[in-house]
Amino acid sequence: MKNKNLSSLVIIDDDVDLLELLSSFFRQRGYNVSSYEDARVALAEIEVKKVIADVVISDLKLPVMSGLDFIKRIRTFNAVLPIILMTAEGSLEVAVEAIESGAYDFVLKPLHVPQLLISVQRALFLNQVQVENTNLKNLFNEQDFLGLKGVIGKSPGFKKAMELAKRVSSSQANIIIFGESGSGKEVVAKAVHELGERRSGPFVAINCSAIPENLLESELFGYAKGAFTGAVGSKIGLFEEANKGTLFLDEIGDLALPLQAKLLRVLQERKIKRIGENTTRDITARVICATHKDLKKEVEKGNFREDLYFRLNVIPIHMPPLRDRKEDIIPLSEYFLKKFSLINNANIKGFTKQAIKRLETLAWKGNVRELENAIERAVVLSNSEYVDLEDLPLADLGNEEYKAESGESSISLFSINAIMSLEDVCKKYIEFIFKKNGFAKEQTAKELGIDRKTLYRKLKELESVEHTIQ
Amino acid sequence: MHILDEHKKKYLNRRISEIEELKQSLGVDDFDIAINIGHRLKGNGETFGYPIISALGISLEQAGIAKDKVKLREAIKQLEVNVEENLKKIH
Ligand SMILES: Nc1ncnc2c1ncn2[C@@H]1O[C@H](COP(=O)(O)OP(=O)(O)O)[C@@H](O)[C@H]1O
Repeated sequence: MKNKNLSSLVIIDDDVDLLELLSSFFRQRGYNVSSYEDARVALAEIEVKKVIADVVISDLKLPVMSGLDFIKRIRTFNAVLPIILMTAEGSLEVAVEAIESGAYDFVLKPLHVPQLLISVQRALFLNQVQVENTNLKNLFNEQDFLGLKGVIGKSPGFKKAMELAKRVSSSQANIIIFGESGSGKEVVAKAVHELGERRSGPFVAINCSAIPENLLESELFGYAKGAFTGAVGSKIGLFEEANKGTLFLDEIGDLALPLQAKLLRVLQERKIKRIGENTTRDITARVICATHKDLKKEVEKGNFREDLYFRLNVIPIHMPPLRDRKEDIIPLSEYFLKKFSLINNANIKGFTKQAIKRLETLAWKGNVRELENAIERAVVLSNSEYVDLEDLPLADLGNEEYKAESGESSISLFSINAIMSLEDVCKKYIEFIFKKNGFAKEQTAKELGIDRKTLYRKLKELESVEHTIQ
Repeated sequence: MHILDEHKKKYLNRRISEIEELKQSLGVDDFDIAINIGHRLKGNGETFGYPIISALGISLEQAGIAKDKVKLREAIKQLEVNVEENLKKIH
């Protein structure tokens, strides 16, 4: 039985003495070694029998199939496997030819075995980096929707939204995307951009609720030098920056009324004026808006201009909340699991049955963003090859079904703000366990598996954010 | 690098049968045998801790290419002496 944690070497040399010496040398150092006198046999075993090879060491001059021919054949089905060639021909030409044929390194006979070991260790490192790279690339290539990298989903609601995005991508019509926070509105906007002719232009995104009104105006329109105190130079706005591309205005429902009027004018005239300038400039950017609000209601309440609403609402795309497209939860979870295990170099293979059930029953109020954060946290915290219940969030307040089933108390880990960074999740988790244990520090530290000193430090950090959590 | 006696002994014993092969090749004018064996000894002698065997490998290979029987005979003789001496050191 081969131990899968060891590195596997394939050694090829018709010199039986060296073959035995090298095999025993590398075995003693914990390598799995397969040795061959004939390169054809080695090739067949690697190609057909899938003998594992992380690195190959091969003699150059072999009867029948030479080391160079061996490399050429290997490269037809494996582009990355590092091959170290050994030769007693010390000429530069041979070395150059070997490297040009795709050898990783070239060592001279008589062999200095420790030097060969160093070359093998380097090659292994290279191999590992290359394999990780290929895995990441494959991950982004294999699981896509409409040819979009890293966009996952198979539920009817998701497909409907994405297919509509594809259909409108080649038109000029205004698009507004409705959906709860974290449901993937920006993913849809990017899809419209990527699938249409504007993909070669820039995709510029701005969250309208995150920036104060006066700043937002100069961000969007830009300004001329001296337009206001502090305007020492001129600045181009995002409408111009997104030239020939897409401008994504997120949380448009939070746009102040005066700016709504200005946006309406831009959409009607397709022209802008920088603040403090009289000349108008044509804009070529396509504008895509998004909001988590019910804009019709906002219109009724007088918070949103009706004329702008009608102008934007030409093609509405609705991204349903994750709880209404449960079919997407597991494919998304698996995708995030692979992504974060690759990023964190954690060899996590999947979820236990109970974990899958929990993922499917949670309410995911923060939608895909919350799911993504939860899986990242699970990957970081998990101690085993499979993510289990203990690595996942507990039931949330919205999830009556789970609460009833588990008898969980009403203190909930994710009840206050569903969208949190990993750091915030850790803090909240500590707070949660602390409260659950009636503020008993000893017990809390024990349950968290940290020492009391660390707990005190964490609690101190918590105190500074306590008022925001309350 | 430390090479175990067990490996060295096996290595030297293999040379003994090779020396027989080399001697016979002289009788039939087959120089390829000297070229091949010489090439291999050049590549492995020093690795096993026997730089002289590597040097003799070079002589064998070159004499084989030159089809120089006198030099070949001389190199084979020296190889035989060297292998026997080294074997004695292990026993
Ligand atoms: N279908 C999807 N496939 C993969 N990742 C997704 C998908 N939908 C959302 N995400 C991820 O979830 C997070 C939130 O998505 P985002 O589009 O920013 O949401 P919103 O704009 O609605 O707040 C992002 O990290 C995004 O990459």
